[in-house]
Amino acid sequence: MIEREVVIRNRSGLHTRPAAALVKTAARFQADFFVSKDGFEINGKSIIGVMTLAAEQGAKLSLRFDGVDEEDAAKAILRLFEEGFGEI
Amino acid sequence: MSADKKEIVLKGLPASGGIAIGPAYVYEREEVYVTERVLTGEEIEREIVLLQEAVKRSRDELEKIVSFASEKLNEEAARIFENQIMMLEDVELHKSLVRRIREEKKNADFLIQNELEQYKILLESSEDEFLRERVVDMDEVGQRLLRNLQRKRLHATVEGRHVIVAQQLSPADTILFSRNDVLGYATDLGGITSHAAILARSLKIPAVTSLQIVSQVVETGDTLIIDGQRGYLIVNPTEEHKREYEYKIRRIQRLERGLAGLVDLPCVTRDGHKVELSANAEFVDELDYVLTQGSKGIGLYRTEHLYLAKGDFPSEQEQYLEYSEIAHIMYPQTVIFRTFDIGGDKLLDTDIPEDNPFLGWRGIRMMLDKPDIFRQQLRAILRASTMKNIKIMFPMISGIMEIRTVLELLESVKQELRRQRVYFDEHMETGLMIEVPSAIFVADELALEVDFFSIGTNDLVQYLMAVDRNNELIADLFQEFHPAVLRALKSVIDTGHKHGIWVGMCGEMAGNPLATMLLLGMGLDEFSMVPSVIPEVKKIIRSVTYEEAKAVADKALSIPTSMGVRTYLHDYLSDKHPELVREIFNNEEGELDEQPHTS
Repeated sequence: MIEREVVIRNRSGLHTRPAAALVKTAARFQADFFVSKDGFEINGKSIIGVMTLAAEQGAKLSLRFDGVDEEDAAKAILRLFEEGFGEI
Repeated sequence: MSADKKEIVLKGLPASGGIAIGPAYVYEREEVYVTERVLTGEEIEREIVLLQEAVKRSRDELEKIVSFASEKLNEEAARIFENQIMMLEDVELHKSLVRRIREEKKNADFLIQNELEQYKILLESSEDEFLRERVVDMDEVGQRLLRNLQRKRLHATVEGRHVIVAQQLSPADTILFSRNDVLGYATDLGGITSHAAILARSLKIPAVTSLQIVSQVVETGDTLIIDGQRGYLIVNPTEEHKREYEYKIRRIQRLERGLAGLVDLPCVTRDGHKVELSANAEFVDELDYVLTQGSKGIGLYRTEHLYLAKGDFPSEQEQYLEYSEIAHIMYPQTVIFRTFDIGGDKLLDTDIPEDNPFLGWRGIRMMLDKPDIFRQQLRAILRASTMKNIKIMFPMISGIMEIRTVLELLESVKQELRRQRVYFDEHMETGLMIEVPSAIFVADELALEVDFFSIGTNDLVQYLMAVDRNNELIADLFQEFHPAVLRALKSVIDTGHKHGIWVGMCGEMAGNPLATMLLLGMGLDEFSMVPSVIPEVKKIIRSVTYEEAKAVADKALSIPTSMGVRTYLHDYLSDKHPELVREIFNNEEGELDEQPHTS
């Protein structure tokens, strides 16, 4: 299992397009992927879940990856956050 | 059973002839109602399968919208629906639904609504306006999924013979219901020439539209009399009305048998002027019936149903199989295939609405934007032409460049087939439909490009009069006997003849017995109509002379109002051919007209 903390850098937070990118990327891997914010955890492969997180710019998130390809999954997802989902 | 219920007589528009008596089935399409239900043991796994099928159908619908949106709108519009697909297939939602179906043993539609409600509460409480707006998307996804989940059940439960009652029926609904033993269609909305109505006529199923409140007044199981000839719907009829209509049904059956004697007789006037009577058709299943009605082939074969039935464009091979089957069944008679006329109201209800679909992306316009799909259809039609009994025509042509582009495409498809050594009829006739008013004014030039014109009066009248044919508020302005329409028809026929090409008509007007003498007298060469009215029109043509019809047409063309034209035509027939009026117009002055009981 891999755990990481990230801060949302892009302006619009985890809105439709970034949320979709996050879910689509996570779906490419077998590893389970969970996101939590202020103690509220959701399945990172669920678009509805990600939306209900209501994560805005500056929000601090904990990511958790668990499964055979967890390292690759973590790498791909962290890159999305670093690049601000292409919005910065 | 209905003895204690009061009779209600409703008046609407007579959209498809025939009379039937039977129980009502109220079909609700627009609003999806969900009730909580406890599943029995064996229903549980089936419910999960039904859910998965509904997700699949919803996904297919949404994917079509996505590709439409990205082609015709923009990426942003497409993304809205891509996002809806993601919501639809959400892993958590699905997991939770499956678990709850098994644990709580509740029906899927109830649980869907319940789950989405929870998410909606979360989103609605968000301070973020953007997220609050996503509730709308979630609602849409939910509605679509519920509709797909319930639609299947709705259809599965329509067993036995019913009169279908609905707010509105789409062409797809009309086709779907007709596969069961439907007695009739009665709807709140819709006009006489909506495609659902045309389909009903073609299927020989009585239909009354524009009944305004029928879907609210009628309950499933009520006894109904549907009078598609005069546009009445009688709910819970009195014994007296029932007897009266049972008598009428028997009388119509006798009349049909009487006209059936005309089937093998030629369509020629008493002074030897010959015209072609052909049928409008759309299904292979109809052709047996077409052949019993005494037509000379198919004057309009609509190909859209292949698209409607599948929800997507059919492959070349699927089309080829159907077209060549039709060519074989009809041989040696000819079949005129009209290329896809999708758009207007002939779309599945899953596509994105345009503000003005009838002035929008339809007919040849859509096909020229989709050359790959169009080429497949052209190839399929050409390949089916080997028996030399096929013609092709193109809808919605508005000017010279359009028809030239189409014909160039046709030629390039022919060359491709020649290269591939695929045999086809090198002399297949090509025609175009005159239905966009601009075509009337450039008919001189258009006539040089093709072998025939076919006048589509439904759209022509709609466009010429600026009347939406589905809008019942202005349905009375849809006047095929308007002087402007008559002059347009005359001009097109004369122009065609001047250039040595033949002119046909495949709109509703061609099958209106009141118009028969008029059109005959204008010199129309071919009348293509719903097969059920062919015997009546043939009877009229065989009873009159061409000279007489020409005089009637000249006189009618000089009358300044639509009402005047109709009155003249009716009076002329009553005066000179009372036997035709008795037999065909079926005019026992309306006993019902006087008594709109309650409503």
